[in-house]
Formats: sequence, C-alpha cells, structure tokens
Amino acid sequence: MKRKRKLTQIQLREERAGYAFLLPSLIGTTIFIIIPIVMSLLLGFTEWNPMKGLAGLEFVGMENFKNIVDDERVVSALRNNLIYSFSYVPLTISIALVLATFLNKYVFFKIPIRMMTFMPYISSLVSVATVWMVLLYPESGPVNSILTNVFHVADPPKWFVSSQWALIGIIMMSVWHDVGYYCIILLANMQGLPQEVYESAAVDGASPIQTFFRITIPMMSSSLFFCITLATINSFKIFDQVNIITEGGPGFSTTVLVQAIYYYAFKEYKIGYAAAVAIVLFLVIFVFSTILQKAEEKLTY
Amino acid sequence: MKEKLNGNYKAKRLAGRIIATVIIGGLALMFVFPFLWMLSTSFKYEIDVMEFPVRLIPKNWNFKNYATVFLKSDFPGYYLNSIKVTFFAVAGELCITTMAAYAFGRLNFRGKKFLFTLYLSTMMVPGQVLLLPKYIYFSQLHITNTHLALILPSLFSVFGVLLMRQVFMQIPFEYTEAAYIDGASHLRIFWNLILPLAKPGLMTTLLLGFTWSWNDYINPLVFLSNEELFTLTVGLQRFQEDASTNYALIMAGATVSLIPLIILFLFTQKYFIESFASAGVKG
Amino acid sequence: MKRRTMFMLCLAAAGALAGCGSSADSAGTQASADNAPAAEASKEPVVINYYDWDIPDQKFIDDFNAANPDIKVVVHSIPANGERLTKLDILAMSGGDMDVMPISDGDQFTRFESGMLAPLDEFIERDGIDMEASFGKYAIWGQLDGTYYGIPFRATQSGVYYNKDMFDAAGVPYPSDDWTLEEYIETARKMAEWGKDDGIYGTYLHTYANEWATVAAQKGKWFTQDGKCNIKDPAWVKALETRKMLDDENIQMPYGQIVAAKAVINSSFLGGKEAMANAGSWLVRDMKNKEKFPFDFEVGVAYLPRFDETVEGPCSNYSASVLGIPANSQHKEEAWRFIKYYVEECSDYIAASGNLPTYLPAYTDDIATIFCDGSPLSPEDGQKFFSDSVNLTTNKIIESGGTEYMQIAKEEIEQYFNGEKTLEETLDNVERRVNEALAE
Repeated sequence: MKRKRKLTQIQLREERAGYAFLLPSLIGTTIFIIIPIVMSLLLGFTEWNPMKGLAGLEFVGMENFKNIVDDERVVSALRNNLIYSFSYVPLTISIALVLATFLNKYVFFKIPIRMMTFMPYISSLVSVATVWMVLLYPESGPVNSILTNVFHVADPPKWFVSSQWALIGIIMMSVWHDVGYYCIILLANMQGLPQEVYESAAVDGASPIQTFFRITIPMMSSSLFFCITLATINSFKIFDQVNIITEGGPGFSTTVLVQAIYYYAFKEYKIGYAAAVAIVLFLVIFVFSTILQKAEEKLTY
Repeated sequence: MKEKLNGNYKAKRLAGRIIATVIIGGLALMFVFPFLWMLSTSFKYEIDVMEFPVRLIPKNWNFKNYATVFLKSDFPGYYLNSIKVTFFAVAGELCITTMAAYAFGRLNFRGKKFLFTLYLSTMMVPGQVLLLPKYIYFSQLHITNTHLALILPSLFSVFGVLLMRQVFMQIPFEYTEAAYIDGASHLRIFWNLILPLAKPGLMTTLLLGFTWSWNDYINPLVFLSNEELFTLTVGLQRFQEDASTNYALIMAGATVSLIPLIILFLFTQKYFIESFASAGVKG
Repeated sequence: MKRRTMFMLCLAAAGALAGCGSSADSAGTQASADNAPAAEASKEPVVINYYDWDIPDQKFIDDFNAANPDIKVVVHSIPANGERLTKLDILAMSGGDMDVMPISDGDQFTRFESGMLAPLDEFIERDGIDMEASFGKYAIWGQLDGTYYGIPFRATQSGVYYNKDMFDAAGVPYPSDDWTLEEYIETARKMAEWGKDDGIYGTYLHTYANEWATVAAQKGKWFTQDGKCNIKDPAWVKALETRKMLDDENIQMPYGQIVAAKAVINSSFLGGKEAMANAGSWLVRDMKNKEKFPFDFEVGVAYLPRFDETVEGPCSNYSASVLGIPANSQHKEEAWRFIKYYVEECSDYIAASGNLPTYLPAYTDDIATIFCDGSPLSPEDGQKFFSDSVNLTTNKIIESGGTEYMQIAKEEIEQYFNGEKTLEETLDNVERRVNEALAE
C-alpha cells in the first residue's frame, strides 16, 4: 500500500520533470516548425492563389487528391521514390555499419579515415555530382571502361542518360554520399557499448565476424532502427541529387515526389496541388516509419 | 606453448588490422574525390573546369581565383555571418534538444508517445513545400531578412532531439537508478550523470548540426535579402552568371569555407576516443 | 570543467540571441517605416527594392536617386542559378518588400497569367509610350492578351558563332548571312570532317528546352488552328530529325553527352572544342571576360540559317527579359519611374555588359561597338544583333500553357535524342500529354 503510493509519487515527479524538460523545445517547435507545417499541409485541401492573399483561398476538399491519381508525374515519382528508398536504405545502413565497426576498432588511422568517409557529405554537391558524372560517363568513364575491358560487357549502361540506369546511378551516388554520415551516427552509438562483452568474446576466441553478428548487431539494434528510420525519412525526401544531375530525366525515370512538389509550386503555381502531393509523401513516410517502429518494439522487447 | 599461441594470436590480429586498414583506407580514398575536384577546380580557369576527361592537376594553373573571391565579394563578411548564424544555432540547439531528448529518452509522462510521433512527423514534410507559407508566416513574425529566421528554427532541430534521445536511451537505466532513489533531482541526474556519458553523442549532434547550418543554402537564399546578411553559401553563388557557370571561383570559396568543418570534425572525433578511453560505461 | 564552459556558451548564446532579436526588431520597424503611406513620408524618400541577378552599376542607381530625391532605390543581388526565380516568386507571392522584379525570357507568361504582376497599361498610357515604336518586336515579351505587365529591358538574339582560325585552317569559307539550314548542315559536316582526328566537332547546340527549335521556329507553329498541340508540324519534325542526325553522325556533341558531361556552351566553344556554336548574344559577354575564358582565336558570328528557301532572311531567334511591378508592391508609381529610367537611360550600360538593350530609340550608331568592345567580334558582326531588318522568331512557347508544354516536350524529346524512343512514339506522347494538360 505504502509502496504503491510512493511509486505514484515518483511517477508524478517524473512526469512533471518530463514536461519541464520538454517545454522549451515544445514551445519553439510548435511556433517555428509545427505551425508552418500545419499551415502548408492544410493548403492541400484548397486551391490557392497567393497573389490574392487569404481571399484567393478556396476550399476544394479532396479534389486535388483525385487529380493526383491520374497524374503521370506524381505516379512515376512515387514509384521511383519507392525503388530508391528500398535500395538506398538497406545498402547505406549495412555499409555504414560495417564501416563503423572497422573504424571503431579494427583499423589504424581511425580519425583520418573517418574524416575521409565524411568528406562527400560536407563537400559541395556540385563537386559530388561532377565526380559521379565523370565516373559514370558513358563513353569513356572509368566504370564503363572496367565493364568493357575487364568484364567484357558489350553494351555498358549509359547511366544518367538512360531511362533504365539513371535511377540506379542516383542510388549509387546517394549511398556513397551518405554512408559517412550514418557511419558517424553509428560510431557515436557504438561508443556506448560495454567493452566487457567484447573482451570476454575475444577471450573465448570469437572471430571478428562472429563478434559482429552475435554481439555488435544485437547490441546496436536500437541504434540501427534509429538510423534506418532516419534514412527512410530522409530518402523519401530526396531532391538535391536528382535536381543537380538528371532533373528527373530522362523522361520520368528519375523524377521524385519532392521534385514534383517543387515543379507544381514554383513552375505552375498550383500551391494547393503541390501541398496535396506533399501530404501523399507525408503519409507514405508515416506508414513506413510506423512499420519500423512496430518492428522495433517486436524485435527488441 | 601458451605464450607462443598468444604471440601468434597477436601477430594475426596485427596482420588483420593492417589488411583492414589498407582495404578500408583504399576505399576511403574514393570518398575524397569530390574534395580533390573542388581543390583542383579552384586553381583552374573556368574554361577548363568541365573539360573531359577531367584532370585533377590543372593544365593551366590559375592562382587568381582565391584573390578574386576575397576581393570582389564581401567574402569575410559572408564568413562572419555564417559563423554567427551557425554558432548561435548550434549552441542553442545543443541546450534545447538535449533537454527534450532527456525527457523523451529517460522519463515517462502522459502523452509522450503522441508528442514523440508528432516530433518525428515534422521530419516527414519536405522543406520545399514549406517555403512559401513559412516566408509569409515569418514575415508576420517580423523575422524575415534577419538572421533570426535561420537561427530560431534550427534551435528546435527535431533531428537533434532524435539523435540525443537515442544516445540517452543507450545509457543503462541502472546507472542512474541509485541516484534517483537517493532523491537526486532530474536536473542533477541530467547534468551530472547523463551528459558526461553522452559526450560522443553531443559531439556528433554538434558536428551534424553545425554542418547542416553551415551548408544550408535554400533558407538563407529565401529569407535574406540584404547582402550584408548573406551567409557563405548564398554569397558564393553571386559569382554565378546567367547562362554560364563560374565553378572555379565558387569552388575556391567553397574550399575555404570547408576549413571550419574539417577542424570541427577533427576536434569532435578526438573527443570520441578520449571519452572512450576514460569513461567507458559500466553496465 | 567542460560542462561549465558549455553552460557559459549557452548563456552567451541566449544573451546574444536576445541581442539579435532587438536589432532585428529595429530593422523591422525601420522597414515598416519605409513602407509608411506616402502622405506621411513626404520627407523620407520611398524605398524601392529592386532585385536582380545581373545588377546594374551602382552609378546608375545613384544618378537616379540624386535626380529623384523622393525615391531611394535599393538594389539586391541574387544568385543567377536555377533557384533565382524561386526567391523572386516567394517575395512576389508573399507580399515581401519587392517593387521591381526581373523575369527572364520565357518565364514571364505564367507569372503574368497568375496575377503576380501589376498591369502597367495605365502608366504606359499616361506617359504616352508607344510600346511598338519603342520596343519593336521585343514588346510582345511584356504582354499577355493585350495587357502589359512588364517592360522588356534585356534581350538575347541567337547567332551561329564560328571559330575563324579553324575555318581558315580547314579552307572552308565562313558562313554567309543568307545561308539555309542545308548549308549549315553541310558546313558543320565539313568542319567535323576536318576536326575529326582532334576530337573537334563541327557545331554545338545546347540542351535547353526547345533549343532544337531555334531555326524551325521560323516556320513551325506550336498550336493548331483549334488550339491543340501541333508538335507534328513538319517543321518541328524536321528540326528534331536534324538534331538527331547531327548527333548520330558525330557532327556535334550528342545530346546525351552534353547532359552526361554537363557541358556548357561557353567553355566548350571558347575552349576550342567545336568550329561553330549556336548560342545567344550572351556569349559576347563571356568572350569579353578573358580572366575566365582565356582563348586566342578569332571569332565571327553569322545570322541563324534560314529554315528553307521560302523563308526571308536574315533570321534570328530571340527572347527578352522584362521588369515588372509585383501586384503586392506598395509603391507602384515610384517603381514605374525607376523602370522607365532604367530602360530608357541605361541602354549603353546594358549593351556594355553584354546584353542587348531593348529600347530602340536609344540605339545609337556606336551601340554595336559598345556591345562587342573587348570581344573578338568586329563591329559589323556586332551590328547583326541590332539590325532592324532581321526576321525575329522565338523557339519559346509564349502562348498560355507554354511552360507546361515546354516541360512536357523536354521530358519526352530527350528520350528520342538519347535513342530510347522512336520519333513517332515521342511525338505521340508529347501530343497526348500536351492535349491532356490543355484540356484541364
């Protein structure tokens, strides 16, 4: 009886502390982030001519969403987004995890090598794009030279100018660009792993590969889920890389949703319609991140 | 016998390390290419920049780009603006986000799940759709054309909250339980127990937050109109001309603007190892 | 220790933020004072905010401010890259403080249609400006359905630039000003043949939207009589086939390669990669900039070829940028006075900066000399951009719905150029999609 009351008191104290800690962030986030977002998304149910201010705002219900269904641009974009995320996320996170494992323990010159993997992320995007355009240059680029000369591929892909290969090129470039970023995040989380477990594994003579699968992955599972969620959210918002290299082409082969949003908002001034596309994008991301959260709850508890 | 085995093991481990270093280091070299391209472009004439096949060593060296960047634009001014914006954004972000992250990561309260989902949801909306409503809203708040339009939203970086929450959650709860039972306040636990253990995480948030603010282009472009307020990313684009490119000059500026990021990276990573060696978490 | 430092840092940050806030506030109030109704601001000059990516010399602004003590023009420079219009659009749509807005060639019509800009007819009528007489063929770039929303101020005309040194070495006569498309192709073929071993192409045509249509625009029509998509016009078909043929025969850098290598006209032509280049008058600006483009050969410019014998020459492809006043501007009168000044008085400056001024009465005898001074072009060649006997047509679709049309055409046609779709498929797709868009 007494114990229970004490516990609730502790809980109450904790709750008050929770709100107190959260308050500064909550106020600011509401004012500077949530309000603009809600404003923007609500426009998805309207047709808005911003030149006429609020008077130009007309509620159209689900009209915009009905139009999205037969919009070739948006439908292709959604397909590309899904292909992109489903390849980008597993590739990026697994490479980043392997890299982080090595950079945490198994190599010399840890800091310089970490710095190197982080370079693409901080370098100007133009330079990143140029490097990849050079690598994947259809006529004489190094990748195609290797494909023809070493692997005797008769007709190597034309990469960024081919409808079939452009998206794959974008995926390769993005994975390479972002691996360092997720590697840094994973490294930060690896620092917290208890060393004793590793030491006793070493004493038991476990191979590094065994250690990786039996210890690192299970102990990192929460961090991995975090990175996967983060990568999923970010991958659906891909825009800059596509915009700078292919502008969505050839045809619609690399068009993505954010690009469609940008196009409708700033080329055709269909602000309401652009917001509706953004809502679709939001819902898609929301579904995937909810699935990820449920999976995490299942797997980690 | 045992010693020999041990020596064998050590030699094997050393060999493994050397091989790993060579392989990973070799792969890592590939990651440096964009930087090398920036560096080499900054010493080229524009006419040679997009030449195929690309030469990393310029055919004709042009040392004037750096001088032009410094003399023909208010480069030091842009630099100071970038430093100012990034410094305040990141310093404030660290305070506010770590507190929120503590609440989400280590405390239980009603509505936590909802609020957390709300926070996470804000990351699911692409910035491009926000530009216009945000501009209208911020002009109502009278912060357009001031650095506050850049700093204030960064203070409440949801990414920072998520990252720090993850780091805090990794710290075993047993570690703070004793202090908690003893009646230490949450502020004390947060300040004296949790933060010191979360240094690598803090440093990562610092690094990533700094990088983001430093490289942000679209927000300064949209929210700033007076040239005296321009940050580096926008200022450098002034060299761009209609129907033309000016990568040589822009890359010269971009190379110089990378310096703080590189210094910060080295600083934060050094912290990693140190904290690792000294304050290993006892589970 | 470290934590204390961090705490101090945070405190400092908070304090400084408060500082930022107050300074920002004062800036804000200053701005709103600037915007106060004219009645109160009889002493304080009205601030006119003019944004541009190609900003005039401060001297012209100072001159204007001195001559008009009731107005203070403030120029804001914005980057000239892809996002330039996004910035301006946001300012115009949100009622940000922008009073004079430039819109580049071809992008203006959707903006006129959306009501972003204030109609200028009243001002034009009041000041008795005869748009046709003052701006000639440039005038249409400022109007939509007979209403003026913009005043043309910077223009571009295309020409075929040729590398005289290469032509001399190849023993091929320079392009004539009366040539036809067939002759252009032949010349390009000869030069490509000559330069084959050095990897020099015969000519260059960029990948901008509708760039393939610069010559065919002399004959082609984008819409049928009843307002449908007319992409199957024989002129367009011929133009598309011509580009594809020149690409396939390696007479010019193929479309896909330009995209894959992010090639740019200036670096490519001035870098001696081809004997000719189909480019706008802005190439003259780049030829003047020896620090950026050090090259050492002689360059001439010819008119665009005539599409066929039935077209009267000489011909050029053209477009114009305009200055407009955002509908939200609080100071339309003052903005108008500045636009008028800039267009009428600064022609020589615009010419010197490598753009074509659009105000015809300001065309003096030496305007061509001013324009090409510092470039290897002879004044006679420069005069070609200022001649009033040129048959000017445009490859841009300036009718309503043009932006969407051009976007669709670009998306579909690049697949034809890259050899992924046949011409028939491509034309069918463009026709279907454009007609669907028009039906909306």
